[in-house]
Amino acid sequence: MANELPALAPDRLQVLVFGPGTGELVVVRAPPNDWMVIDGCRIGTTSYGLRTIEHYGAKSNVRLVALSHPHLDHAGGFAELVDAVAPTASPTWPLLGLLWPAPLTGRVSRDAATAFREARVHQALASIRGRWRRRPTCRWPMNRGDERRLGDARVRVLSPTTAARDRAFAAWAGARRHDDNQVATALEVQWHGRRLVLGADLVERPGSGWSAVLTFDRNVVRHAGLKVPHHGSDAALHDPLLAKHDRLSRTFVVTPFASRDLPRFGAKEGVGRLLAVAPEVHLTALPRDHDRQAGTPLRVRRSALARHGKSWAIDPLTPGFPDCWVMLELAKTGTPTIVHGRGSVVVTRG
Amino acid sequence: MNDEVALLGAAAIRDEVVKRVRQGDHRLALTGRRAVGKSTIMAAAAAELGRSGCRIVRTAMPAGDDAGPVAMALVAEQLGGACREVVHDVHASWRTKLEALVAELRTAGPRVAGPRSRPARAVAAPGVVVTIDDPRFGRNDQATTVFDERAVELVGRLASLENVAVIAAASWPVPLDWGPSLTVPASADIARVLADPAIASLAGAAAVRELAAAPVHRSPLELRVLVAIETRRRHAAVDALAARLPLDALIDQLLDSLGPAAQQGCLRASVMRTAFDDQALASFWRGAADADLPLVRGALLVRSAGGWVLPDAIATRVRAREVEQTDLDRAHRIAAEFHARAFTATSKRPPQDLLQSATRHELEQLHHLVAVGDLKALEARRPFFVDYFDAIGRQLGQRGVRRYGSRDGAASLRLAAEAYKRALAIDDNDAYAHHYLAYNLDLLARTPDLVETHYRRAIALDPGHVWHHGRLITFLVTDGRVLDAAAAWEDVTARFPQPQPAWLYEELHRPVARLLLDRGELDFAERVLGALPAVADASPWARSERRLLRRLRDAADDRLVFPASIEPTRRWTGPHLVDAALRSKVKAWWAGRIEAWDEERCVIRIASDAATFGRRWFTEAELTATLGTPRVRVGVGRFLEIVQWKGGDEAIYLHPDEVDDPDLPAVFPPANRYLTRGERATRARA
Repeated sequence: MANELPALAPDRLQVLVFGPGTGELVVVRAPPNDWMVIDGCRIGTTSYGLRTIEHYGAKSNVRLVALSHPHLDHAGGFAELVDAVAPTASPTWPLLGLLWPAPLTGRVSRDAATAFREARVHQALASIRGRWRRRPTCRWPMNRGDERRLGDARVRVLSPTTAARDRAFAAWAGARRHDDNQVATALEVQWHGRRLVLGADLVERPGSGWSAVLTFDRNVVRHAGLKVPHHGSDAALHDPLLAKHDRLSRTFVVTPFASRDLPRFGAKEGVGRLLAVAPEVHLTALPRDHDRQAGTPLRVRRSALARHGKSWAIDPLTPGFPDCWVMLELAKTGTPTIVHGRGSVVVTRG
Repeated sequence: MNDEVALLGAAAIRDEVVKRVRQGDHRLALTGRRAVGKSTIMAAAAAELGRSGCRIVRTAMPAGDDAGPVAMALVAEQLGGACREVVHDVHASWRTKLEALVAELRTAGPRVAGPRSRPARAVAAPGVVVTIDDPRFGRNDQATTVFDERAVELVGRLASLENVAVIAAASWPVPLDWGPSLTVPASADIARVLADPAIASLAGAAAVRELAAAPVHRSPLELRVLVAIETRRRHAAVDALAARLPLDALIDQLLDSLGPAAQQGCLRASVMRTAFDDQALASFWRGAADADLPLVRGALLVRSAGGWVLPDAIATRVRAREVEQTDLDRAHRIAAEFHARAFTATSKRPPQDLLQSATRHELEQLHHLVAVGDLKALEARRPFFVDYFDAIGRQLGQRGVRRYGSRDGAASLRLAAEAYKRALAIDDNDAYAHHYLAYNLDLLARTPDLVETHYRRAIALDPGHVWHHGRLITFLVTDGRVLDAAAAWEDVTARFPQPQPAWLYEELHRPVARLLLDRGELDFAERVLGALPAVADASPWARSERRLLRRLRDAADDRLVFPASIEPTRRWTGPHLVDAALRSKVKAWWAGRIEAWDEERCVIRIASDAATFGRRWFTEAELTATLGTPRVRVGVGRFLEIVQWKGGDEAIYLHPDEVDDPDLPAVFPPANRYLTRGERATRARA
């Protein structure tokens, strides 16, 4: 049923991607029953990450939690999740990942919407920093190449490079503008010889982030599924990462970013580029309203979604948790299975 | 029930006090304005009671954090013996000292038969009569500090002893349950005031004598100041009276007429809490112009039995003027030097006035070192009350707060923390020191684990103090532990069930809710604000925090398209930026807010009604054209309305920039202090 979250499949690696228009949450369950949560999203004050973990009764099985980068749209509901899975009274906490130091605006924005999102980022940072201090063993510094076990799977940090981090820190320390997507933490999940890449918001331009990843390990391109980086923006799509590969089908999952009108649907941009490789692209939601939002997933041709002219784009009518999700299930063999939640969209060629 | 015995002369009031004590009243108060002679009457009554066999113990509670310790030390000084030793024991806690004092008083001064002149209906007088100048009474209308509480506790314990009668001289109202209260009326004997040789010698005295003959009441101090300004400038007093200047303005005129050195002298004298001698006077006004000195001696200062005194009204006014911290510190240092000298002198030769004892000078010296924030000097004098470490911690902490964010500020906060550590080394059960050690460390934001430890210890020692709870909760929120903060909130609301006095909501709910709003913890903030009773909910800060909560809710729901100036009920009655006469020509309109800019376009968050939200994108050129203004970059967060006219044209109108809410409390300390300190943001941790 599209209105409910799918059942657990004990022998499969399951990756649940949420993206209700603003924000992105990736939840990975690796057999036998270990969990990882990356980033967060929310509607109002409902934390999708926390609700998902509660739904599956998995609080005590969460092993890894990370904020891929401290951007306003990725921190929604994150602090609540950390607070719940790493309570003071619990003797064991998951590893908590964060690129630190992180940039702080240093002042409260007069725009209440920006101020609210900044506040939630700060709370997310505080929730991890405080716990690192109290139990240093929970620190996951997320250096490139760092590998952690997640059940039968392994999670490896692909980015950013030390040089990229240094550039970012220097910019933050000097209060210079910097595209923080350059230091987003992309992760690779390996399970029974198969790879999934969680691209976070890592961009190729500027900073050549994906080129650096592939220099680090050429085999990253052999992924069986990609959580497409940075909402499918052209700056994040790196052709070698997307290109067809022997005996591997391509599965692309995209989360939208409504205020940036991402992903785009032109033939040679965003989803169009992905469709040149794969027959379909899976979106957790559209960056705008569609008429089957609250019901079963929509299946639509790309051309139907291309430029909407100067008319205004009405919001996705997010019916509330659990919505706007796509689950990617990986068996030990065979192609990945995709399950769609309400609000999600399958975009096909043509 | 209070009695008002107004319009009695001093002698009659004295007799009334004596009579009532002999009749068995154990608590009496003399009230009235400052400097009307309450203490004199009280001393006279005490002397009379002393002659009839009562043991008389005099004490006073000076302004400042050490009112309790000073009063206790003065009592102990007079009781002597083991009690004095305990009070002077550096390692004894306040509680131990208080119990020793009470035990000594219980056994002191056996009841003595009435005096020779005892009235027929009089009963036996109490064994001990304690007179207290400026006592502190408990209050329920505001938060109190440990310093207030100690003074109040001392008064309460003294007054609770059956064999002790307590006579209080207070310039402020005494509680209704204290006992009989006799009001000493203000009665300026103009002739007597102006006959004072120091005044009479001033040039303005004659003119003021004529002016003061008018049937308008003038206080002695007012008369003195009038003489002084008249002396300085002819007709000044006439002008001041014609302008009906209040006393503060008269004092300002007088102070302004003095040279810089004389003004510095006034500042130095204004920090004194006891009378001072000629040598001190000379050092305070060193360098003052010859023309100023007669005014100082004649009009500003009053000569009392113990020495020179700068009247409170003038001292308060002097300190209220713009004063450099360095000048104030210098004044306190000179005062400390005076008391060090006086301590040595009185140690060798006890003074007539018990309130000017060596112990008093010793404590006054400590008081001034506290005011300067000189922890090293204070420590060297081994204060026998831990309160002085608490007080200097407070002084240094306040300096640190005033300069928060600067190196000086951090240095003060570190010293404050040191002071509280000294206090705890003497008394580890000092809840105040635990709390403020935690608070100062919290401001420094370097050692959060210690912060939590000491906040929790303060709560364990004194769970009835609301600040202890409030600051732990805000610390936990700051540290990203909202679940722990919520549990602590449950504890505190259970401990302080409704109704509570209004100040409690201001001290607890206001900062907690404000921080929660600052961190976007909206559900929790709503719970805190929802717990306010109607009276607190109507306060400006609460209304302001609720307004912010509503805006942040809109922001969280991504529905922020109206400025705060448009009430929710009026939102969809627009367009608000189009003249009412033109509204019939509007085909459609959208409320909106500039949400973001990227390299190419501006994103506008818009809504056509309360349920339909969306976005539009404009290039800078399109936006400029639709605004109909010269090229302008409209900032993120600016509210606007998009109007589509029936003719097909479209226009964008901008709401005025939003202004800050003046009633919204500031967030202090900054919520991100732990995020901006610690690891340096320079190198990757590879």
